[in-house]
Amino acid sequence: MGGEIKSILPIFIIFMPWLSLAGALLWRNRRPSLARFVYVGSSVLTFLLILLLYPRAMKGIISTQAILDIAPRISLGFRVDTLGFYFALLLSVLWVIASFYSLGYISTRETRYYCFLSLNLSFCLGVALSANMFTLFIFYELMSLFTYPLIIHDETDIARRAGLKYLVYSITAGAIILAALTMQFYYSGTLAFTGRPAVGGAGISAGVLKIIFSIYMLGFGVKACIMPLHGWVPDAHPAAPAPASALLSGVILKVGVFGILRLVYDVFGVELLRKLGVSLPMLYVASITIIVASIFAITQTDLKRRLAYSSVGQVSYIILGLFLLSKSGATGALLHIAHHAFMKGTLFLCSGIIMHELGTKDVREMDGAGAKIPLTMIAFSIAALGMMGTPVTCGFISKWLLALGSVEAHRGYFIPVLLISSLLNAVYFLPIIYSAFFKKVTVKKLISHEAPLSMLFSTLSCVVFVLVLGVFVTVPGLPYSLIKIVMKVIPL
Amino acid sequence: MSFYVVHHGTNVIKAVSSSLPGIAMLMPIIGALLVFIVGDRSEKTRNILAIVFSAASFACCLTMFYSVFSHGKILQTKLPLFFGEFVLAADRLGLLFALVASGAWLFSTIYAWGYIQHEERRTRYHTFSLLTEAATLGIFLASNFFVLFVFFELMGMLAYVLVVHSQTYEARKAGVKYIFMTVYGGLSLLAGIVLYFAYANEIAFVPDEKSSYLLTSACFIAASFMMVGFGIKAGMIPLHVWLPLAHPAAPSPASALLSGVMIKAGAFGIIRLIGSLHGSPATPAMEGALASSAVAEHFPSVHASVNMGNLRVIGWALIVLAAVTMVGGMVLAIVQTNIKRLLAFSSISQMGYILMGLGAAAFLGHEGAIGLAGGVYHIINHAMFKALLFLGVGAVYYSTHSLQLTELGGLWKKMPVTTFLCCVAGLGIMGIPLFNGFASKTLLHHAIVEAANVGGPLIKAVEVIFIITAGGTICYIAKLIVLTFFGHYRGSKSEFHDSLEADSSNLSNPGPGSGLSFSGAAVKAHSFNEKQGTADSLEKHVSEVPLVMRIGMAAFACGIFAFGLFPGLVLSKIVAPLLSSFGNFDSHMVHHIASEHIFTLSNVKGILPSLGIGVAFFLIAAKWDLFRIRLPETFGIDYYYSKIEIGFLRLCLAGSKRHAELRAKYWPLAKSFGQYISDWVVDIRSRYRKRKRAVVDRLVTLPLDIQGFAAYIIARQFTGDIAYGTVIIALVIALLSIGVLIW
Repeated sequence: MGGEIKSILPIFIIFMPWLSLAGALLWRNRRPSLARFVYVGSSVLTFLLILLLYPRAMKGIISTQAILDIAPRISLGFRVDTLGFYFALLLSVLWVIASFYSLGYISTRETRYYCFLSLNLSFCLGVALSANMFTLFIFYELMSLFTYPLIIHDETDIARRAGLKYLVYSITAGAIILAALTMQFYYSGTLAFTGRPAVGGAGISAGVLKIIFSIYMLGFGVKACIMPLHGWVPDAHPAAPAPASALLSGVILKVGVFGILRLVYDVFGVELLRKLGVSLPMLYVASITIIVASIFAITQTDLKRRLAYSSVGQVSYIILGLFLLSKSGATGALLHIAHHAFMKGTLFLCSGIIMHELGTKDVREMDGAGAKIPLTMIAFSIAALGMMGTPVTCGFISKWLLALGSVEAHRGYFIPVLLISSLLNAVYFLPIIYSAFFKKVTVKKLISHEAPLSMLFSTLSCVVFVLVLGVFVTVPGLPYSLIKIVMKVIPL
Repeated sequence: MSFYVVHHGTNVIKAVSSSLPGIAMLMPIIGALLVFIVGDRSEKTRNILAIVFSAASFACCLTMFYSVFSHGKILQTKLPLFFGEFVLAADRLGLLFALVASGAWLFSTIYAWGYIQHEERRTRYHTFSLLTEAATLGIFLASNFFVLFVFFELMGMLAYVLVVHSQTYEARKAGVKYIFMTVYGGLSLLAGIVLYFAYANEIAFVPDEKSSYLLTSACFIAASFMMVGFGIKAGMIPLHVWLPLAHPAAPSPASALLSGVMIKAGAFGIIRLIGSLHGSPATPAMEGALASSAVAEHFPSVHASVNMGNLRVIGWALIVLAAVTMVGGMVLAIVQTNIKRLLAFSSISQMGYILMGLGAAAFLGHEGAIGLAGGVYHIINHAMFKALLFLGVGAVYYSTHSLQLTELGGLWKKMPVTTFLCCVAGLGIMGIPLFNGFASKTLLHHAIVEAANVGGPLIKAVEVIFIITAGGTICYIAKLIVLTFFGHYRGSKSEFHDSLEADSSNLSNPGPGSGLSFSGAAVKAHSFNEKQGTADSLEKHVSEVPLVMRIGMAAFACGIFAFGLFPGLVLSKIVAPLLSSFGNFDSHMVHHIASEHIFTLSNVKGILPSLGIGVAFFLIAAKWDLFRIRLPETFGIDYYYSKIEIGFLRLCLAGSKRHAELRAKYWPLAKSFGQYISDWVVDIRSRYRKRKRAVVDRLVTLPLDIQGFAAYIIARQFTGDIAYGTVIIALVIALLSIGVLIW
C-alpha cells in the first residue's frame, strides 16, 4: 500500500487531447470526417491512457513527475494520487460521451468548438493531476479562460452576454485564488500536495489560517457555485450548446469542487479544519445554497435554466458532505461528484435532444414528448428520478451516504436539508416526466423522431452509468472502490 | 453453502443460502422484459407470458413454504448489489406476505387478461404490473431495512404507472397526489432508517446487542419517522389522502393489487418496526407499574423497562390512530355512491383493524402475540376479500360501464357468478362465521380486549369503536351488494348528461372510463350509455364477464372459504410458527393461539352486537336516504394538505419574484460601483504603464487588470522574496497573453 514512483505518463495524458489540434490543422478542410474522427479519438485515447494508471491507483501508489522549477519551492509538476486518478477518469469518460454526442449536435464552427473542447480536457486533467497548488492554479485559470469559446459558441447576443458574465466571474475568482495562494506560500512556505496538510504544523495563527481559508473558498466557490457566487451558472448553461453545458455542469463546476477538495485534504487537513471551526459556517452556506437554488429552479420555465439551478443545488451537496468531516459524508461527497456528473450530464444531453427534435425548451410545452422521443424521455426520467434520490439510480447512493454522514458527524439536523431538497427536486422534475408521458401530445413540431444515432447513443450510455453506479456500487473500478482507497489515507 | 445459526426468539433458526428468494423476485422481472419485447405484436403470447411468469413466482414461494414453515429455515440469496450486504431472505413473516402477494398477483393477472382488453396501453399495464410485483416481493423478502427501503421506494414509483393507467384527468390528478405522498413517505422512511442505522449500529431488523439504541430517544424519533413512512403507504388517517383517489382511478385488477397487497407493505413495515423495537436485549417482563399512563413513561429515568416504554408509546399511538382510521374509513365508505371509492374507504377502515392489531401487539409487548396474530390473519383475509370485491366491481364496470350505485341494480339475473362471488367476499369482510373475516376479527377483538385490560379507559373506548366499525362495515357492504346486484335496474334517465357532469366534476366517478373524450373504449361506453336507460336495454347489453375473469375471481373466493372454514389449521400451521419466530413473545401465549378454537359460542355471540348495529345502520340510512350525503370539502384533511402545498409553492414563487425585484433595484448600483472601480484601475494602469493600450472591451480586461494589480500589490508587500516576484511576473504575462490570444 502506498509509495511513490516516477512516471512520465501524466505528461502524455495531459498532452494527448492536443492531438485533436493536429487533426484540425491537417484535415479540417480537406477531410472533415477524418478530423472529426481524430477529435473523438483523442478523448478516447486519453481515457485509455488514464486507464493505464488504474493498477497503481488501486494500490494507492502515487505517480509523480516534476516538470520545471520556476523558483525555489515553486514548481510545475504532476502527482497522481487515487483522488486525482478518480477525478481524471471521470473527466475523460464524460468527455468521450460529450464529444461523441457533439458529432450529431454541432453543425457550425466545428473546428473551433472541438479544439477548445480538447484543450479544456487537457487543462481539466492538469488540475486533476497537479502536484501543487501552483500547478493547479495555472491549469485552473487556463481552463476558466478556454471554456469561454464553448459558452459563446452560438454567438448570439444572449450567449455573448452570458460569456462576458462568465469571464468576469472566473477571472476575478482567479485573482482571488492567486491572493490566497500567495498568502499560503508566504506563511507556510510550501504549495505542494504531499498527503500531509501543508499549513498544519507551521505554527500559523488561527486568524490568518481562517483568512486564507476564506479567501480560497471565495475563489473556488465561484466555480463550485456556492450561493452568492453562483450568478454566472444560470446564464452560461442555457447559452452553451448541450454537450458543452453537460460538461460545464458535470465537470467544470466540479473542478472548483476539486480545488476545495485539495484545500480540505491537502492544504488544511481535516484535523486543522475541525480545530478552526470553519466547517460549520460552510455547512450552513451549503445548506442555504441547496434549498434556495432548488426553490429558484422551481420557478424557471426554461428547461436548461432549471437544470442549471438544479446543478447549483446539487454541487452544494458535495460541499455539504465534504464539510461534515465524517467518513460516510466524505464518501458520499466524493461519490456525488461522479453521480451528479452522470445524472446532470444525461439531463443536459436530453435537453439538447428535446430542443433539437421538439424545437422547444419551455417545460410547459413538453406534453406528450414521451410519445415522440420515447428513449430520450426515458433517459431523462431515470436521471431526474436519480436527482430525487430514488433507489437503483446513483442519486440514492449519495443521498444515503450523505444522510448517514450527517448523523455520524452528530449533525443530524442536516438530514432535513437533504430531504427537503429531494422534495423540491421532485417538485420541479416530476411535472416534466408527468406531462411527457401521461398527457396528450401538444408539442409544436408535428414530425419529430428520435435524435441522430450519436446523440442518442451517448445519452443512453450516460444513463446506463446512472443505473450501474446506483446498483453495482462495490464493483472494483467504479467510484466507490476508488474512494474507499482515498478514504484510507484521509484521517477521518 | 453458507450455514450459520441465528438466535431468534426462543427458537433456533437456521439461515441457509438458497437461490429461491432471488428467483421468486427475478421471475416477474424477466416476465416484464419479455412482455415488453412481445408487446402488441401478439396479444395472446403476451398475456400468457405475464401469467406464466407470475405463476412461476408464486410457485417459487410455494416451494419455499415447506422448508421455511416446517423446518424453521431462513432461505437467503446474497446479491452483490449496492454496498454488498444486499440479501434477500425468506423468513416466516416475509414468506407469508410474499406468498399472499404473488398469489394475488397471479390471479389478478389472469383476470386482467379479460378486463384489460377494452383498455389502451395493455403492454404498458402488464409490464409495469410485473415490475411492481418484483418490487413488492422485494419488500417482503428483504433481509434488512436498507433492502426494504430500496424496494419500498421502487414499488411506490412503479405503481404510479398503474394508478394513472387510464390517463384521464381524474387519474392524473389522483396520480399527482399519489406520487407526492409516496415521495413524502419515502423521505420520512429514509430519515428513520438512517437514524436507525446510525444509532443501532445495524441495518438488520434487530438492533445490535451492544448498542444502547432501544434506550435512547433516537430510537423513538427513528421509529416515528418510519411510522410516518409506512403509515402513508398503509393508508393510516391522517396520511391516507392519496388512497381514496388512487385506488378507484386505477384499472380494477390494479386496484385489487393496490388495496389487496401494496398497502400491506405499509403494515409489513410496521411489523418489522415493532420487531426491531422488541429487539435483542431481552425485553424485561411486564411490571405492574406499566399499567400507568403510557405517555408519562416516555422518557423515564434509567430503568430496565425503558425499551418497553418506547414500544408501549408506539403501540399506544398506533392503537389510537388505528381507531381513528377504522371509524373514519367506515363513515366515509357509508356515504359514497361510487363503488370503487366506497371500496377504497373500506380499505382504509380495514387497515385500521390491522393497525389496531399491530398496535396491540406493540402495546402489550412481551404478551402481544394475539395482536400480531389477529393483524397478520386479517392482512391475509383482507388481501383476498378486498381483491375479490375490486375484481367483482371491475366485472360490473366491464359489463355495464357504470360505477354509480344510483344507476345499478338487479344484476344478479344477468351476472349470477359475479353476484355469488361478490356475496362471498362481502360475507367475508362482514365477519360472518364460516367466512374468513370471522376468525381474524375474533382474534383482533381478543387482542383489543387484552390491551384494554392493561391500558385503561381510552383503549376501552377503542374496543367500542371496533364493535361499531364492524357494524358499519356490515352496513356499507350490504349497501354495495344490495344496490348493485339486487332490486331492479335503475339506470338514469339523463345518463348522458350525468356522465358528462361526472366527467367534469372532481368528486364523483373517478373510474377508469370517466375521461370519455380520450379513450376509444370509453367512447363506446358513452354511446352505450346514451342508448340504454331502461331496464329493457339492460337485458340486451349486460352479460356475464369472460371466463378468464371469472377464474381469477373464483380463485380468491376459494381462498376465502379455505381460510374461513379451517381457521384452526391456519392458526396452528401458519400463524403460530410465524409468531414463534418473531420477536420474543411469551411462548405460552403462542401455544395458546395455536390451539385456539374460533367457532365457540362466545365468539359467535361476540359479533351479534356488530350485526345488530350494522342492520340498524343500514335500515336507518336507507330510510332517511343518508347514503348520498355529501360532506363539505373542508371536512377532509386533504383540503388542508392541498392548501399547505399550494401555499408553499406560492411562497417559492413569491420569494423568487422578490429576488428578481431586488436584483433589478440594486443591479444599477452595483454596476456603477463596478464602473467606478474599473475607472480607478484603468487610471492606475495608465500611471504605471505610461502608455494606454487600446481597450477592446473594458469590462473584460478589467478582471485581468485586477489580477495584475493584485499580483503587483502582493509582490510589493512581500518584498524580499525575489523568486516570488518572478513568478508573479511570469504569471501575469501568461494570463495577459492568453487574453490577447482569445481576443
